[in-house]
Amino acid sequence: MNFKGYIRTTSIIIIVLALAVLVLGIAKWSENPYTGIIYAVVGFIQLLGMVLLFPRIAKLDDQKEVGNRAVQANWIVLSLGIAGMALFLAPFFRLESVTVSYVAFILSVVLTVLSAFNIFIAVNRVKARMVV
Amino acid sequence: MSEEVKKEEWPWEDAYGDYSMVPVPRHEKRSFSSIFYVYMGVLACIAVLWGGSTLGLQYTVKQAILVALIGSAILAVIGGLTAPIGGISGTSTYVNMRFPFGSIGSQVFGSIVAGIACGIGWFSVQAWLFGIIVHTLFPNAVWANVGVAATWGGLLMMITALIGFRGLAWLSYLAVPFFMLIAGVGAMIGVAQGGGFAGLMSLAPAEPTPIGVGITQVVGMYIAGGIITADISRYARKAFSGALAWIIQIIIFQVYMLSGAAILMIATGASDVAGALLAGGAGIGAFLMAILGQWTTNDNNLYNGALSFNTWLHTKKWHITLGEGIIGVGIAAWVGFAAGASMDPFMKFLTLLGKILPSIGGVLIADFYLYRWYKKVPFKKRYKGTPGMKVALVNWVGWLSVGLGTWIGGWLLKWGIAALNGLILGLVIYTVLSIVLDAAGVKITVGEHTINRKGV
Repeated sequence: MNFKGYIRTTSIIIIVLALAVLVLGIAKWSENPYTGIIYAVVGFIQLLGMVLLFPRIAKLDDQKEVGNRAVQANWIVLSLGIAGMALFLAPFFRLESVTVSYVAFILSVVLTVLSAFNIFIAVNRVKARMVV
Repeated sequence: MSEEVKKEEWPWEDAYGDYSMVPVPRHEKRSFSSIFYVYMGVLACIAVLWGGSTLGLQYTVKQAILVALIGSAILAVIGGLTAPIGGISGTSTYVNMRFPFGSIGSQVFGSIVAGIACGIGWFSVQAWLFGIIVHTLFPNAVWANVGVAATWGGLLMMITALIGFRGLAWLSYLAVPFFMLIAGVGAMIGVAQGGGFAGLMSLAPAEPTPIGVGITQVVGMYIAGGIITADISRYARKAFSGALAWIIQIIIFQVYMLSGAAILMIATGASDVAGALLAGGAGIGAFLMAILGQWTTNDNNLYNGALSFNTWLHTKKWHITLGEGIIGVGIAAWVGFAAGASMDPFMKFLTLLGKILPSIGGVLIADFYLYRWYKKVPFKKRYKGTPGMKVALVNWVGWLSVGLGTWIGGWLLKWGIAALNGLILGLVIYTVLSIVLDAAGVKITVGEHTINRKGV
């Protein structure tokens, strides 16, 4: 698979996972809006960052530039993924349903690992810049 | 791009690393988002959350947001004026200071306000504060002893500063979205504990404070950052993207963070943000906030300090960063290990040094925008250096304006915002004196210094 195809495939996976976090937030909203909004914000920003990547790389032929833009989008997913891992099992998020916390935590772990791997691949395979 | 073209376009030699003495070349310039993230990295610090918590203890939610907005708007104007100077010249604040102060002036003023105050002084204070916060969060752990935590925290902060701009940007990419979310979590904990938004709005402080006091606090908290924006904006691809990045981060995100911390404090009545977050159930998030918040700010302290020292210490920039860092960590650890020690006298001394900075900023703004306009220098050519160019050794009008601005604004005037007073006075005195004296044919500079390829 070429690099652009790889980025598109992993971005779709990230979008699905971020969408799941967003849905968890909406589901949690009626129970506890204060934690629900945090899940929703995390999921929405990760989702938005990745959705916007598609038009940004659509017409690009330069693999390095595709890598640079992918790196930017994946940094946001990575940072919020770490935030999710640090927060979703914290006492404030476990006031009611513990299951939602654990599911959101696992999703954050996967999002963090995937986005970190994407940055690694972009930097090593197409020599993208780690900071653009 | 061929080597020949590069040499033709960029006739400098980066002898000291990270383009500390020479303009950043075109191929090393960064996107708007990179500049934005680095500015956000400086902003995303515990000090801003503490600033917000102070507002929370003095005002209602509406008043706290209003104060944050007005104070941030003033800072947006200041940074919005200084950032394009770096965007156009491509050089750091301290190199730019050669024009309004002369080459000796840039070394003296740069070293005092950025080198000694930020690079060593505030770096050690923040490393020590980091130790205090970690110890508050984990009072029984050996690794969280104030001195031990100040040491490993200080060393962490040194790493990214040693790498240079790339290091600052890398950390900011990682930490900024996280930090923004933590501020949001703090606000939500506050809203939840305050009995919802309606309940929160009805809470009022025991002793209300005049709005002006809060605005002074917000402006004073970050005016130094507003004056040295060129250190980062010199990397911007477009001349004004640094200014835009600064304005957005200050107006939107500083207000957001100040308000988030204020809401947390209003609801909980606690006195420290990290403790309130931990008590509110943020768990390890509170600990990571302490680490990333101090780290992203303090590496910038070291970075700016090394840039300023490089104007007279002609060695690789990372050597200076390392030296500053070791001294700073040493001070923080020594204070941390000495039980009951306080850094208050030291912080008062640093605050005193910081009083000079607003006037320096005012003179810099006046020289770049007004004096050069009066001298009919085209906007995009101002502060553009070339090897072999001659600069004054001393611009005595710049020195005098800083002296008068600092003395009148910092000590004589008992009203207004002290930092803003100093900035406006420096700006007005320099503009009037330089233009009047120039028109009268009086030389405002003394001596001459030729800039070589290394920017020295």
